[in-house]
Amino acid sequence: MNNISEAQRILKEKQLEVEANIEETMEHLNEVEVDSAIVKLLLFWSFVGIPLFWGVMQTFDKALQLFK
Amino acid sequence: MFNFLKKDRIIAEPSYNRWLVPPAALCIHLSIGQVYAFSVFNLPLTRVIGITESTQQDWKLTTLGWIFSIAIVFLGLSAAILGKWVESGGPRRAAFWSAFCFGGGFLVAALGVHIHNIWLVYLGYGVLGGIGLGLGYISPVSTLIKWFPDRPGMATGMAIMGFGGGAMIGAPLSVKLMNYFASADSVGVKETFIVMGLMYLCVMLVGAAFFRIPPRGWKPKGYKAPKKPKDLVTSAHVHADTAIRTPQFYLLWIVLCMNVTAGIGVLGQASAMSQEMFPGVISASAAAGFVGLLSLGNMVGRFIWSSASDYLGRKTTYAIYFILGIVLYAFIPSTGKMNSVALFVICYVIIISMYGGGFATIPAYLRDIFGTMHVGAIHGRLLTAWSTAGIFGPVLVNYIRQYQIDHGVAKAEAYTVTMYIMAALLVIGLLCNRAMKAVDARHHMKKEII
Repeated sequence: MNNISEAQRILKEKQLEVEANIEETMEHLNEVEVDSAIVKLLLFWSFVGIPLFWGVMQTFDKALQLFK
Repeated sequence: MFNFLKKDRIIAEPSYNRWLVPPAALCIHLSIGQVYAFSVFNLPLTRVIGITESTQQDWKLTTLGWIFSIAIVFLGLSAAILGKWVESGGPRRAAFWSAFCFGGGFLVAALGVHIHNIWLVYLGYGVLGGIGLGLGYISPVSTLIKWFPDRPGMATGMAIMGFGGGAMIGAPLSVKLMNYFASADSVGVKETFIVMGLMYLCVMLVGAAFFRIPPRGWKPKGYKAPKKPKDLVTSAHVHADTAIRTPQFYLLWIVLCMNVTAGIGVLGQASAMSQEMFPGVISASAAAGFVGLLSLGNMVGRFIWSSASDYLGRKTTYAIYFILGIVLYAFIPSTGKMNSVALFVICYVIIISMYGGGFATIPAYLRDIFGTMHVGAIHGRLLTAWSTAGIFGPVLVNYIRQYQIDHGVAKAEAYTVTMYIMAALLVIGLLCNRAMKAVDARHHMKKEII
């Protein structure tokens, strides 16, 4: 009888451990997903932002001649 | 074969981030905005045969001026005619074909330069490129409005800002490429056309690939449509074919046309005007700086004014454009008399920021009045106001200036009457904006059709 309840306890413990691991893995996966979405967003905005910034600086340089 | 372009293939998955749509739109608008910088090719194109100087067989500036005009006319025509096609097929299909038309236009024009056939250049950059411009200009508009129901002005402002910014990249890049390719046998235009055509094709295709449309009924997290809609903001939809039968469409057409006419006329003459109004004070290189500042004002104004319109309301924002514009245009002749370059520059930068703002705010104004369903197609048709203003504005400024000079008016004062005429145009725009009312409910689309 004691052996059965001990086995049930161990089983329950293992089950909880596995559930916690799954939860942790899911959280980690979500974090990775959020991180990769942010990286994608940053890369795409840089793809358009850097040339635009370069163009604005070129124009700004030209505009400064007005005040020289 | 082109299944990946279909509208039902680009419906966003739940995890899609809507902030990926504005850079996709910017890929398109930053590319096609190059058209504003086309004039950098004009002088080198007059030396394609002579290389160091123009010969008898070389093209004249007047012949080359038509390339830009044809492109702008085809922008307006294609946007008006193909607007419904853009709306029905979704943004990716439109952006995809826009990329091939615009990039391909450069390549055909390069062939035209290579065999020295101006008609091929007209066909390439003017017709084909112009169709690419029209398709590209309207392709992201309705998608952005649907992704950002909470801030439609800001969203379309971001994309249309790219059209203003495209010239800032295109102009210095073209000059650098032409210098790089210039040799004893070539002015470098043909090679530059090829490189830019392929580059814009790739960038625009990247933009097209990132386009997604929101699933039906999608709303941003936490967004609740206002229970009592603001004045002039409809929750109904008006069909594109019905919209052009409403007085609201024509009022908005005049509003856009007047705002653009006033701005575009000045933009084309900015360099000469600043030097003539301030002889001996503003040199040719300083005038180039003035034009650069106007470009910055044009670009920044597109974003700031259209974002502000989300809070102020479209009608109020346009009223500000017109009232402030009237005051500033009327004040500009005084800056010449006061010999104040600083005031002159400040006035013009504000005026041009409102010119750009007018372009960027109009899609959201259309969405308020006609609903979101056909806003792209209606926007396309409204852009004929731009084509009209593109012809009307510069002609008005140039001819009035010439008339004044021919009648003995000093060059420094030759723009005074023009400024007052521009102010009068803005009064017409102000009155039309004032007359704007909500569309009658009988024009709304029936729920069962939607």
